[in-house]
Amino acid sequence: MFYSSRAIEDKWDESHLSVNRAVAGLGMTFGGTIAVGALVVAALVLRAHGIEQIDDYHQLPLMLIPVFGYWGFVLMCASLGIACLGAALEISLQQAYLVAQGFGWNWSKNARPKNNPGFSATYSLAVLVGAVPIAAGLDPLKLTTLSMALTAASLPLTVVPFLFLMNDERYVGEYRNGLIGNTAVLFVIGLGFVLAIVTIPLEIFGS
Amino acid sequence: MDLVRDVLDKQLVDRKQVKMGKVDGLVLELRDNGPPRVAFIEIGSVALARRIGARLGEWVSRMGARLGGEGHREPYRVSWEKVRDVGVDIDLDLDVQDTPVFDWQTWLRDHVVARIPGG
Repeated sequence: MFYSSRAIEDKWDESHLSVNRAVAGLGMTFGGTIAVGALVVAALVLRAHGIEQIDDYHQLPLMLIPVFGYWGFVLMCASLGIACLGAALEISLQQAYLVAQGFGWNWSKNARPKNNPGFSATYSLAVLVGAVPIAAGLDPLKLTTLSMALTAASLPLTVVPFLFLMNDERYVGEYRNGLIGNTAVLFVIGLGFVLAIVTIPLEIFGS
Repeated sequence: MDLVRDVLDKQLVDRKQVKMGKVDGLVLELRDNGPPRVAFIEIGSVALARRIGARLGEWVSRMGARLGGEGHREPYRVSWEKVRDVGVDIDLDLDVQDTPVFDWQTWLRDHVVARIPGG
């Protein structure tokens, strides 16, 4: 939704397709590599320090300290800050797109907020409401893992309708999905769904 | 044209292609000699709430009147004659500034958004 709204607002057409494929491919590869790297480093470093179970964000800077020393702590804080800022912006804008497009209001990322009051009020409110659970004292780490599991569990609901669109020649013409693409999508959402269904009870009742 | 599939809940745009909400309700006029005729398009949360339930509709209607004045007790109606085209969007031959549809957004702009730094 975030992505497609940009496509509408900036009037993308067929000529933007190859650029988008490259951006999506590179972006996903980059993100995936970083995630794998973080997991490997965490396993290597934390275990060496005798930490078998991470239950607090305070343990995370340990990952970078053996190499960077004090600056590893600074680096970890900075990267957490950047990641959280990015996520907060993206998620609140996403809510605003969802509400504004659902109710048929005007929306625009490029226009001044006062030109689309309903849209800008929605993302402002989303930031405030999103801060409530943390301000109320909920454990950020538990909240992160639970919400990730919930996201994965809801994937079939959000992705399967797209799968139909991606296979509909009336919408995408010659660019419709092939057998490999469809299999890959189904495999990934199936895997995510199963993992989430297994994880959610553990998250709630503890493991 | 299938009214529920092609008209209800579709995006409305005015003469200048400004988005002005969705088709929240349809008013059909029963006639003695001939089939029913589409008389109005209804816009507004009151029409939307009435589709969910009579009690919710009544409550939203009272809230509308209290917050926005008597003009907001009922959903805003646009005569079907104003419909220019039914496609992905539904084009209306009017200017949204002449309607009360954006009253709440105007209020929000003047009282909240414009006062936030950067608004």
